[in-house]
Amino acid sequence: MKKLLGRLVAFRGPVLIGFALIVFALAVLLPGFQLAGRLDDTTAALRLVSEQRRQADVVAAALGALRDRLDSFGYVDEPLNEVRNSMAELDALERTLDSDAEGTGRFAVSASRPIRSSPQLTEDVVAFRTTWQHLRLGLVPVAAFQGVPYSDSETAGVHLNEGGRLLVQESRKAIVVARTDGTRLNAALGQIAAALEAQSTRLSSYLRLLMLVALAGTLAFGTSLTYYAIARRRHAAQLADARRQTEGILQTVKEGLFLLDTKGKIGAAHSASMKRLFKRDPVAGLSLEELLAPLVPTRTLNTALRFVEVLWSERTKENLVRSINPLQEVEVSFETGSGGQESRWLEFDFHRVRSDGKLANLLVAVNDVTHRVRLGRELAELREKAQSQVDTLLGVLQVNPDQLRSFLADSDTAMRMINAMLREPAKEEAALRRKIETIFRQMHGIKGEASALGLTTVQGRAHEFEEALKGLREQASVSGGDFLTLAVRLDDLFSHLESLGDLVARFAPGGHTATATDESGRGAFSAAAPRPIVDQARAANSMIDTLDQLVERIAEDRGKSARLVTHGLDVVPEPYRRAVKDIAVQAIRNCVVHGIETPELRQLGGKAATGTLTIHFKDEGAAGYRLVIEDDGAGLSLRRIREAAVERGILSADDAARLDSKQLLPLLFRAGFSTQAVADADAGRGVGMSLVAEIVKELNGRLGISSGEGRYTRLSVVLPSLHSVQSVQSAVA
Amino acid sequence: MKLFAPLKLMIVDDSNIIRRRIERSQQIDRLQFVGSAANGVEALALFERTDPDVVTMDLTMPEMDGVECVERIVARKPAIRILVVSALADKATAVEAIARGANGFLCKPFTDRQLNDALAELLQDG
Repeated sequence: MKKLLGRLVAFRGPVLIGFALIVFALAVLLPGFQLAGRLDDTTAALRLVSEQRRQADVVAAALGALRDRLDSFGYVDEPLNEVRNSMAELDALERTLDSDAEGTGRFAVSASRPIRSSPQLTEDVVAFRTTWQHLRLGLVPVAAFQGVPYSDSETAGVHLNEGGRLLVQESRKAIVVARTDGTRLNAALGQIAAALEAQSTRLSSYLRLLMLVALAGTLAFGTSLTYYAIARRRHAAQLADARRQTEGILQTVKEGLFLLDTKGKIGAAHSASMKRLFKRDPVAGLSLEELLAPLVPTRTLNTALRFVEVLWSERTKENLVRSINPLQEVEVSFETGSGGQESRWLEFDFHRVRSDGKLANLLVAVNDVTHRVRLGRELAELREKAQSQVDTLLGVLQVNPDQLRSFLADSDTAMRMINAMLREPAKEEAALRRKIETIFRQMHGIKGEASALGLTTVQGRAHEFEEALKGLREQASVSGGDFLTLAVRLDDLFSHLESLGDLVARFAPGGHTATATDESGRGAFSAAAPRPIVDQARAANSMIDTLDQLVERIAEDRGKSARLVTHGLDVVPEPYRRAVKDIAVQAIRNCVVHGIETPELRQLGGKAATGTLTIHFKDEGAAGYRLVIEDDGAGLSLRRIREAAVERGILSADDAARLDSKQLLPLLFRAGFSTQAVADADAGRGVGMSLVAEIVKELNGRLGISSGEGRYTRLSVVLPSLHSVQSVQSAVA
Repeated sequence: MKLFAPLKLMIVDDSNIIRRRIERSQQIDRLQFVGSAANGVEALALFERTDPDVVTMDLTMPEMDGVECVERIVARKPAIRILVVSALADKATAVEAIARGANGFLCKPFTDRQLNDALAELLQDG
């Protein structure tokens, strides 16, 4: 109801009031005008009747005067003229009162309705006319007299001539008629006057009533017009207020808000932020295409324009297409003043705007979500990092606790050795280079074992350390200062190993590992505490598990399939255990990476898809211990060894071609020799075999390698009998 | 469309699992499952046979893809309602399917609730 009123006020009010005013004016003013006209007529008629009321008496008096003048031979023109005048007056009155009289119009009162509606008045008018016509017949002969009624002669003196005598006769008759008719005429006129007076009174009251109605109407219109004016003003004020509020919102809101019309143009009313978001002003009147074309790739632009087209179709369910909005999160690039590019992320949201049920506009809301997008990416990175930490933890939990403890103890020893070497003063270039080589081999050992256990985080760090060392090795000259960066990296690896130790202490079973009493004072490496004499079989199993895992992992990484067979690892004496494991780790790596072929190749060559690695350890008494590691892979390619030796400048092409396998194979034990073009975590640096050679040399052992191309590669190590070795321990530590 | 008159539902998807999933999970009373198709060609044949009112349509299918299938079905029966059910790998293709006459889009993977909400929205007039 209120809404309806509001609409009325807003749109139809003026029209309705104007129309009502015209109808009212016609309804009141027209009858009023007519009434006033009638009243005017009536009043005029009344005045006329009143004026002519004594005309009969005037006629009678004039006739009397005429008779007297004739008797005394007086001048008769004056009374005659009076009679004629009165006749003319009464004739005029008759014409006026006579409805049929063609006449004066204005005063034809009998033609007017109010008079006709009064039968008495009609009757009185008829009586007046009849009487007057009668009287008039009597008067006409008198009035018709012309000339002088007397004659003068010598004989008879002044006497009535013939006309005079006739005049006397007629005037006597007229006097008689006038006596009776005059009374009647007076009565008739009196009655007409009374009727006209009554009519006049009636008309006046009608007119008054009409005036009252008009007054009431005027008041009503005045009131409604005032109300309308007030309502309109209030409405206008509300509109102005709403416009101000809208303006305020558009000026303040951070979002870019604008409307697209049916022609796809941006409307004039848009938020002030548009200028900031699009670095463009003005935007009103532009199409979406013109706005976006400089900012997004053509493909995105085309999809976006198609999407907007789809939104205009009534077929499309607005809520069901939000997810395919191509501008939901779009990267836009602006050219900065200095010729560079600035990239931001914008989010466009489209809403249909309906007017009277029809699609009128699309409201587009634009937000700068750069911050959110960047935050999201950072979050994803963090999540990834956390995930990798969880993976580490899970990896640690999967590792056999004994293996892990043994690894931590070994690496702790190696790390401390590296640390000591770094601190050891060395000035000459040669000494520094030696230092690098030793550290390299130690770190490579840690990496190998970490890789065997699947401790990827340790492996990664060790790999980075190696890379740094490699860089140093390749420098033309090295100085003591170059080692500083290594110390930092070493520290990182130290603390990482320490946190691993913490994890082991917390999660691994076996309370005694949580002690902090090892001699070095580094309590975290609990496994480094004086070890009880480890059960031989348990130690062997731990080593086999480690090697098994290593084979499996590297094979999987390389898309190969391999299995490990071991013999006699349970008889490896404690002092050689670390050395055997280190040699085995390096040899396995080489075998799986270089020796074993892919399953397809193997099958082509008529071999089982799964390659076999065999490790054989045997106590040969006084002759020492024999360790044989063998694979059934492709064997060593002398051609590749020759090529690599030439590439690395170790041999000239001629020498390489000349040397036989016995002379070529030992090249494999040289530091830095590799047939791989690119190094990765498992192979290619040419360190593995040289490390084996180093270990064997330190233990005073012997080393041999043999190969059957396409069939096998075999590494043989002979370690001296323990009885002939004074202190193996010192070599291991 | 008469109020509460049953509407025939056709499911088009090359994945058997998704077809069964939609058939089982949809809980709109008015919808009456009439059959499913694994590609655009099958879908057109099934359309001719069953004259469905509502279709869920995958986009990437062998033989004939969803976009073309949408266009052909809409040409035959403009009053049909089509919900594209697809992964959001390529928004341009999804937009194209809507432009050719599909009414809405549901992103894979979806929950039962998302499916039913989308179907309810699809069936709303106006």
